[in-house]
Amino acid sequence: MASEGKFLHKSKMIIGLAAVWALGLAQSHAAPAVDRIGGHPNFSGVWSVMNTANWDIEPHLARAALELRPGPVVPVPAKAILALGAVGSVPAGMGVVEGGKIPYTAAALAKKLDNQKNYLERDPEVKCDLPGVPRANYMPLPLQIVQSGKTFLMSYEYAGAVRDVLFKDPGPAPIDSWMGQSVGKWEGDTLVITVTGQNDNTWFDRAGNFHSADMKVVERWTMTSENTIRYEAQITDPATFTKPWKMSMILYRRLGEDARLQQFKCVEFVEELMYGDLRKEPLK
Amino acid sequence: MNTIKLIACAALAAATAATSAYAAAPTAAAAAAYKAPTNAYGQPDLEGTWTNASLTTFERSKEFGTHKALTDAEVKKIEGEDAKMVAEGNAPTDPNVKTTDLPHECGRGFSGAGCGYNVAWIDPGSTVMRVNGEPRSSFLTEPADGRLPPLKAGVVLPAMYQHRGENPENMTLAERCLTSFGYSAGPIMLPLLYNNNYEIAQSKDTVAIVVEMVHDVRMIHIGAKHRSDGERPWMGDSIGWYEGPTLVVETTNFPEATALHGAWKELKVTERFTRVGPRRVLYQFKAEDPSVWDKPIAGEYEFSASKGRIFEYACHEGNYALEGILSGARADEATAAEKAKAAAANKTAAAPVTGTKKQ
Amino acid sequence: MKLRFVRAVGLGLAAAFCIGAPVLAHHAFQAEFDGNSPIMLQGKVTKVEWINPHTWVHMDVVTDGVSQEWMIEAGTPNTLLREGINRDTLKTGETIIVRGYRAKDVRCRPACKANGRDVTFLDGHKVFMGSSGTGAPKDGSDPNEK
Repeated sequence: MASEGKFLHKSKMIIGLAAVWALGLAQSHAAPAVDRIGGHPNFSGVWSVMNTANWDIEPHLARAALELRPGPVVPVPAKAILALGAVGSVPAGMGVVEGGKIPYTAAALAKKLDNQKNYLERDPEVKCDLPGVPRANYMPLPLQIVQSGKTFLMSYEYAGAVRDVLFKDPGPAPIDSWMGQSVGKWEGDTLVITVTGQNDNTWFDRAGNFHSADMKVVERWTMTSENTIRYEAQITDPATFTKPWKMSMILYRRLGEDARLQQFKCVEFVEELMYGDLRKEPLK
Repeated sequence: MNTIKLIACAALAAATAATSAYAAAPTAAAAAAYKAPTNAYGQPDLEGTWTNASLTTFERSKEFGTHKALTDAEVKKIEGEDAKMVAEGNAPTDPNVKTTDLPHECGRGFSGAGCGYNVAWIDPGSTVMRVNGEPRSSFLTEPADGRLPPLKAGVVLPAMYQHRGENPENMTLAERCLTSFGYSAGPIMLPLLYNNNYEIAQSKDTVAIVVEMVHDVRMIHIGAKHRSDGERPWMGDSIGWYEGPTLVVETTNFPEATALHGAWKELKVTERFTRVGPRRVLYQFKAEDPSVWDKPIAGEYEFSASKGRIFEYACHEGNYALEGILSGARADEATAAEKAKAAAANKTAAAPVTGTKKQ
Repeated sequence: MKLRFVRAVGLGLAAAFCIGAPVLAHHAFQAEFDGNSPIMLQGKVTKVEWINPHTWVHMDVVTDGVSQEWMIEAGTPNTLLREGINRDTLKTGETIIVRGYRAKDVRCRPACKANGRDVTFLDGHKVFMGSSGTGAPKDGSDPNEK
């Protein structure tokens, strides 16, 4: 009886799973049942990725540190990171770049590799600079979307970065900025945001991947279920890349006690690093 | 509700004028004339970009006494003088003007490089504040003289910003790009010399107020309870609820670093946002801290629709100024040390040969 | 009425409009710049950094055939953007005259620095103009607005 019961239970599960799978198939063709506001899917909530794109957007194995120096046998962590031990190492990831590799021009690839060599000095995240788009979306810290019938505001925990999506195109951004100018339009249930006017001070990740001030990012935000967003970004920047390329990943809704955006005002955390030498009595 | 009633009662009791600054609702006339819109969630719609830039200050100038309303003549004078100053500041400079023609004294003890502003640097608004059309002499209306009450006996203001220039941590939060000068983000949200712009966005359970200065975002948790873990986040812990056409926000758990005239430990700020016109939001505030003041303070002003959107204020990323201030202080010290050395050398040189020298 | 209201106070560096923590207005000119070193510079714009908290105009000043880079501190770009200024308002190669105060730190690393109180084109017209108001006429003074 017991085993029959088990079998019945199992078969029910299989049928159940099949039903879920079938539903999934059906949903890939029809809009998922999600909360809506103002005629659009309601993205309001706290979201974050569960990937390691912020370490390196390209596919990568775990490595010892973000900056390495030659060792007698294999490269070893740079002196300034050494004391962090395993905490300073890089977790592996499947990457988020479609096709795996970013199509750099030869000169740009050389610069990326040079960036890696001089990581500590150059990554804007080390200095708590605003992250830019798309990096803001896949940092380890979450973002909160506040959406009404007419507004789509994205507030990021990291450095208090914020983006307001403009639904009326004001024309080219008057000047460049760290987070750029976001202009949105709805294509069905997908929010398409074109980001321009970003300066060249931001990176894509902690692996030295960079862009120029001419970069255009076209983001596609699609809710694939109540608790997941498929995020895509097409990057166009002829000064840096031989052709446009795309990244794609999932953002997950933070639930319950995790659904609260905290503050990460990291400016004060880097004052010793940036201004320590200008103290009246610099620390020894 | 009880809290609100209490606040309203206290406000009414404290006010000597006909209308309380912190009334439970905007004036009947205003409410009757305008029906505030609701958003897709059915909440009072407060969304938009707003500014509180104003020539009216938080505290009232003593000469106005308990007059919270300005006369037409006073308004004309204040706004006229400001317009004149802007026109003069924007006028072309005679190419022959020399550096010696730069202002040396510009009032209130400021001189030299302290006169480094001209009108292009600032944007504090060009009109006095009107509340329900009435021009005002201050935002603060309780106490009735529109001035901050004395601190309770024994209250000592925290010693902040001493040893300026010695370390980055000795500089103001704004110079460090941590948050704005004064109380731009608040609460109480108050205007500054420039960038007095805010954006309000609403979802079902959150009201976000983007503060342009130093890109702060106030997250107000609708229907939530205050945190009870004793942590004091930047801008405090804000919860909110809707009362008819009004958003009520209550904030506690303030950090000491942004103390409001010495109040932070037991400080509770209650704000009421009410749309009173297509381009106007009435902002009423009340701050109480029984450890600092005998009575709560309260006041009001109106946000008006801002010209255009919020622009990024990425402060830290380009903060050459902090580096300049610190290296300026080091330069001052080097100069002083050299002077002292030279003076000592002169003294030695000038000293009579037969002089006794203490060992 | 002088110095009673915000702008007047602001021009005199602002300490009046504060409740509580001292509003050491702005990025403390007196700490960064030397009031005893007023300076007038003429030169060609080499770069404009439209950044907060202050715009920085880089210029090449040639004295006796020797060229020196100067960085001139100006106001926040945001108020200027609202007045319609953009990246093309001040172009590279344009000649400007700056009147202001030299930085206390005179080491000129990476460039000499000064505050640009008054930045004009050669004909005397101001490069940066003050706002004629953020709110007006939507400031409640218009009775028809309600």
